[in-house]
Amino acid sequence: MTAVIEIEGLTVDYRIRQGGRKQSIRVLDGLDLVIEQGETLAIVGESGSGKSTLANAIVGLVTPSSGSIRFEGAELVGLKGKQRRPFQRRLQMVFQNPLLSLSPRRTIGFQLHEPLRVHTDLDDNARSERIAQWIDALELSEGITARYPHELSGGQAQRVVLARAMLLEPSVIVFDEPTSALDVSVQAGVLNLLRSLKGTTSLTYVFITHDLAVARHLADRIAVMKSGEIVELRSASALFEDPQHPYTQALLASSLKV
Amino acid sequence: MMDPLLSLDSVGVTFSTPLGGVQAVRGVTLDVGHGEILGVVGESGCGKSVTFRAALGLTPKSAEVTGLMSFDGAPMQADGSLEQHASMIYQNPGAALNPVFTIGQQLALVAGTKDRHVLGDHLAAVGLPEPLKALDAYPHEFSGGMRQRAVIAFALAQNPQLLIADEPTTALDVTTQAQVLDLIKDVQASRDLSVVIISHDLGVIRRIADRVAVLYAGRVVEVGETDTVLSAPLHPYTQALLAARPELSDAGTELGAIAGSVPDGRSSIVGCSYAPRCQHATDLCTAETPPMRVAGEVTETEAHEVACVLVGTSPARSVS
Repeated sequence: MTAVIEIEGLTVDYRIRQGGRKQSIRVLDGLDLVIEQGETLAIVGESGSGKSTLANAIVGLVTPSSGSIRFEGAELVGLKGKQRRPFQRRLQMVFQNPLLSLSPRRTIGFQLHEPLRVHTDLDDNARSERIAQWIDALELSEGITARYPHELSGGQAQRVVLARAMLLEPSVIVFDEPTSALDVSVQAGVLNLLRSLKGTTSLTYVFITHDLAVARHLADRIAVMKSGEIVELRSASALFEDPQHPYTQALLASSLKV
Repeated sequence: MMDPLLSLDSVGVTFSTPLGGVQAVRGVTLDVGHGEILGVVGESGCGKSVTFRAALGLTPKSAEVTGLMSFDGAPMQADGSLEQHASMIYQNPGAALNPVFTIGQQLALVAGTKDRHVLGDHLAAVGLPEPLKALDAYPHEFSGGMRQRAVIAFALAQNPQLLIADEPTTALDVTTQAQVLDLIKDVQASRDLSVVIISHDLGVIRRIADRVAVLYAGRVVEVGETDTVLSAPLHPYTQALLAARPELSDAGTELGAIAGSVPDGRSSIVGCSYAPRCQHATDLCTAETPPMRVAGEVTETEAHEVACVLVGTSPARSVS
């Protein structure tokens, strides 16, 4: 296995103002993490544990105070704008609420063409062809390109966002709670789709979730975060059979079974 | 069931919109017994919340409520309000609290007293630490779990007979969720409350509900004791909901997604509303609306009821 993302000593501080005074809060504190090519890594933890901050730092949405993030061997920390763009294509992100990731005023077709216009030299026909291919792979109907986001169901909108990430042929996709806004019946479809899209390719998933059952369902390895640190990182089966850290044990004990 | 506290008989709710009437609830017949916790489950858009908002008289003016409702044996107006006897708590406690008043000021309004010791007792009853200090706190100083506890204290301060909890733990972390569910169960037992807990999460229902009603497209499709319904579901929709849920024990199996979506409230439904998505559907299903029928063993207190014409004709069906 080769590492696709290597994170060393990652520290992120958020500056806030409290009672007129400037303060900073350390959200991630010297975090180390190696993500292997082709694996599905789930990151679980409660709100405030820093899991979304970690995801945002990986894709460059927050600037670390210190530390290093290497993607396919290249250092990402400190890169700005155009320097970052070639890496951005191969490092995609999918958020929780698909309707906030889509412009309400543009058709789905426009929004699927846009990333290809920005990141590739494909002409109009080639772009349409690739989009059609992914619309099919994500079990969406062809007519969807003419529609607007408000005309879609939650599950359809999330699959559109997924198609938009997939058609750039990334090597890593970071998901931040991609199914927690969906009904369980729809979530099941999206999770099945994520599994089958990955198949046996070398695509890497980093999957942020608060739902242990979802993590168990998808992940090869699971990292448990608490207060900005990874307190346990092991294969999914080992973690569930024999949780070591008291916090992991507490999480497992409070999850609800049917 | 012996004399229910809240009884709904063919309750329907139709919203009038510029595009025509939207039927959110298409005839719900359901009883909430004295001192029981009733779970109500279903996908978004099945009418779970609207049904009970109608019972509390909380539906907007654009909604037409039909059917019969009675509370503690006495009939209510179709748009009748249960304000005196029932309290409701919602998914987002942050939105239920006013950010510019302290917890104590807001609690005083619903409790009808300014006595700090009485107010403190209300907060202590829901397990808030340092209740007297908490009275002077503003909502933003509380964590999500503490806010939901405060909102539960507000609801209980009115001494209701019925507590309706609409997705009370959906916005909370799993560890906090378990604590809040335990709290609801504790106050239910100590005050002999009737509780309706509305949730899309079968795990929540399993944890605290005595009985569960499964709603689909504005109708009850299955109702019975929680253990019976979740261990041996009869309606294909209940079975599908269970199969869609990832479990801690099964890694990497294919989940049972339910194709299609809940029918639009504008469409009229002939026959079983679930038939278009049901893998067992036959011509029989689209012919007429299946009535609720008693299935399985009838005990003196509880019955397992299901609205599916296929139940009884193909007993071998199970969750696969």
